[in-house]
Amino acid sequence: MRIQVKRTGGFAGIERRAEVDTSGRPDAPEWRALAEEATAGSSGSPPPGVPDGFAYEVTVDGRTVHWADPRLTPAQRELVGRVLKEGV
Amino acid sequence: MYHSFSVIMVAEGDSVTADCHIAAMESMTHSTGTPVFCTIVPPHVLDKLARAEDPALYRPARRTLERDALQRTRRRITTVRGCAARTAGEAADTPERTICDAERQEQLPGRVVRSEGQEPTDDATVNRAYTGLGATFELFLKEFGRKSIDGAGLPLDATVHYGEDYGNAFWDGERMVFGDGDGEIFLDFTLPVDVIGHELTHGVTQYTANLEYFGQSGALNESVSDVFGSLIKQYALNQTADRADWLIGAGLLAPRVTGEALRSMKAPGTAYDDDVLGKDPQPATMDDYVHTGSDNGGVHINSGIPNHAFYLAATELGGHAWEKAGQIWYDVLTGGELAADSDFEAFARLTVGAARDRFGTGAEEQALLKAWSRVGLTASDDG
Repeated sequence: MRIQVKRTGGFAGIERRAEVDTSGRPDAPEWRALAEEATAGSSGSPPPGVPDGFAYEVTVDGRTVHWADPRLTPAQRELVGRVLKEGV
Repeated sequence: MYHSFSVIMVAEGDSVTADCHIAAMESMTHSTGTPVFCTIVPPHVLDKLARAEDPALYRPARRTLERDALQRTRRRITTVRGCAARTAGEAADTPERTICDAERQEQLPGRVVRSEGQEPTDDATVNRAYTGLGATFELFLKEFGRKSIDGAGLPLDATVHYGEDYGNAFWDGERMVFGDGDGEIFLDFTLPVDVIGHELTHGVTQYTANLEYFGQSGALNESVSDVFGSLIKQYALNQTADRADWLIGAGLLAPRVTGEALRSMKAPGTAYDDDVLGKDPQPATMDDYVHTGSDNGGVHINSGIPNHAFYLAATELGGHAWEKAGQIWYDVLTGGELAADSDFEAFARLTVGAARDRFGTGAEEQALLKAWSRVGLTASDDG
């Protein structure tokens, strides 16, 4: 499973991208469960954001969904947090 | 890497179709018989094309990027009006501040840790937020006669310690929210008072011109927040225009980052140049306007242009920047003529009119015409 995160906006307006390829990783099932929980019910069109808030574009195996601060579910926060931290 | 694709339909006669030269665009016929163009171009290709030297390549690509972003993100970001406002009769001359602590969770509002009139806490972040809200309230009240962000004494709420290593601050329509930064790139977002002022000014804009947070109106929304954010710092330090640093976010970057701030109104594009952060992308003039679909059409990038115009006008006029240039900007923001979807030129023209209304024909009007001209905008309103 390939998980890509693009974060735009924010006070600084600086874009960040990172991705994680879970194939061959021992924690792949954990990533899959998290990605499925995070993206369940998410829409392909961006939700309304707030001034200076981050906007997230998350692509899981080719399917792209959009989220915006501060309205992320705990699973969504964990997913973008982990990808931006551990991804390349 | 970026692998999603954008698909947009563009009607005949639209500017995108007029000079469409992108090979991936193909002509189609709509069921109504109206010719349309369907573009299926990966955004990263558009991004690259948009940076091409050849106008035949960059023009349609830039327009497509902007249109694509506009359609995807037509957001009603700043639409919360009138919430929690006290009635006019109650409007106070003192702020009513409440600081909450999110305790490193991303849950709002968090636990109340300091209310109006209470003594400082042991937490410097809480105290900085409290003091910064007070400084912002004071500038708007004493210099512009505005009671709080809605003009009717709206309580000022802020949440600090939002999230874990969270490198951002934002206005959520009702409160200011500040992260602690990761310590590697960003420090605590309450450190620069202009950042606090910037967020609060988003509230003022929401209750007044309500500038749409996209494209040029979005860049104006951002610029107005930078302008008043900087003025709040200058006011707190009692600085004249020639003594101010005209920086946004000075002291926010971690020591290892090569840069002095996030934005420079004096010299947009020079605030930082770092291995990790990259280079400050802000333009100072319309010649370098950045066409992009990211960041709501580059609202934090192209704000450099009106920011620089304000700096030029304020330094030309001299003295305290809030007294003349700041007053003119405030008059435009609150005067009722600034449309929510205004572009830079509309704003520029209104500043010239506002300068004449308040100061008559003279140095102020001339300083503004000159400042806007130097950033590549025509501000003459033929009045």
